[in-house]
Amino acid sequence: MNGIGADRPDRPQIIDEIRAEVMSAARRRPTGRLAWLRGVPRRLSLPLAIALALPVGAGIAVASGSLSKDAPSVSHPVYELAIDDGGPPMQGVGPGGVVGYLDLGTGELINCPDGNPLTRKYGERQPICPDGTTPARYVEQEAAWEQFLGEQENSATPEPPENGPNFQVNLRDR
Amino acid sequence: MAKEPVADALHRARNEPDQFERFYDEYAEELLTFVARRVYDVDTAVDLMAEVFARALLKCRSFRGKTDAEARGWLYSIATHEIADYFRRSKVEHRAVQRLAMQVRRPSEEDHERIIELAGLRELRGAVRQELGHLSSEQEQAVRLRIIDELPYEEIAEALGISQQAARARVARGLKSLATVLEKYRPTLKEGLA
Repeated sequence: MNGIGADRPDRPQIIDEIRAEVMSAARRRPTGRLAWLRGVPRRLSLPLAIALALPVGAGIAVASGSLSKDAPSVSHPVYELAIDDGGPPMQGVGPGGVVGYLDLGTGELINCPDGNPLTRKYGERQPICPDGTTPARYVEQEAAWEQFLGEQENSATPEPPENGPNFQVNLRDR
Repeated sequence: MAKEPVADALHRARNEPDQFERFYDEYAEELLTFVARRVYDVDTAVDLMAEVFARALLKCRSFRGKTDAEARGWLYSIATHEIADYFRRSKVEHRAVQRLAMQVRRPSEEDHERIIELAGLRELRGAVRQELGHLSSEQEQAVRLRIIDELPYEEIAEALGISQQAARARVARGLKSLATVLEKYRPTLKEGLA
């Protein structure tokens, strides 16, 4: 069909709006080697992440007050790390399960603005806070995780997922 | 002074995020047109275009090309995959957009009209009308109501006595069936450029 687009209308404004969103996302993403890994040899990153998820991480979380075994009565469920369930520290969530997300830089759970851990229950596609927001630290680390997976897809010698910056941990409703 | 190849900017975007803007500016408008001509719907085309660039941003480290042709080919391979996924699922998956916490609002009425003109959708809709005979009667009804009469899915579902999801599926599969036949009506990418 000749002549399509021959008299070009003005550029749609939505293109500029999407550009702004794309570039905002681009600038939020970690660049080069993942920031939290700087100074940490890659071969140590997995043990480090596991150490953060296991009792050291739980201890830090309890000591910091983000988790408390003796919490006063609250209107929301209180979670504790499932550190003794016999399974690996980071795995998918099954029926009845709940996952939380670690800030890989601090070892503490990523929290929502109301102070509760960001979580995802079985059957939910994405974690989201009660106020509808998603913590920036989650977005940043999820992008890094997605990037790692993408690199392995196109690599001749892909690394197993457990070598990547997975930051999901099992929680258990108390 | 020669412009820097877009492929170089895409490589540098791995460590210099601002470089991704060069890549976006080079292909955004033509990609939007490309997608609109295949899905015949402006809102869907905008969603897909945002998802394609979001996915490209997430995957830019995997780009191995050296030339602008390879950069465009890489982008369009992502777009083709997303369009195929759209036809298969009858909806746009926003995984990359959500992962990047991007907000994509609906285009204005003015933008709607601009995109219809840019993509030549009126002419393409005429082509669809001519080729509907290639479809089953169920798909033909659904495609006619959506593409020719431009009804929302809610009304199509009511008119046909089916669910909205079924209406979406019939339209998507009908358009997929027509895709080969309609190729002859679409200008090439080169002709579509400004």
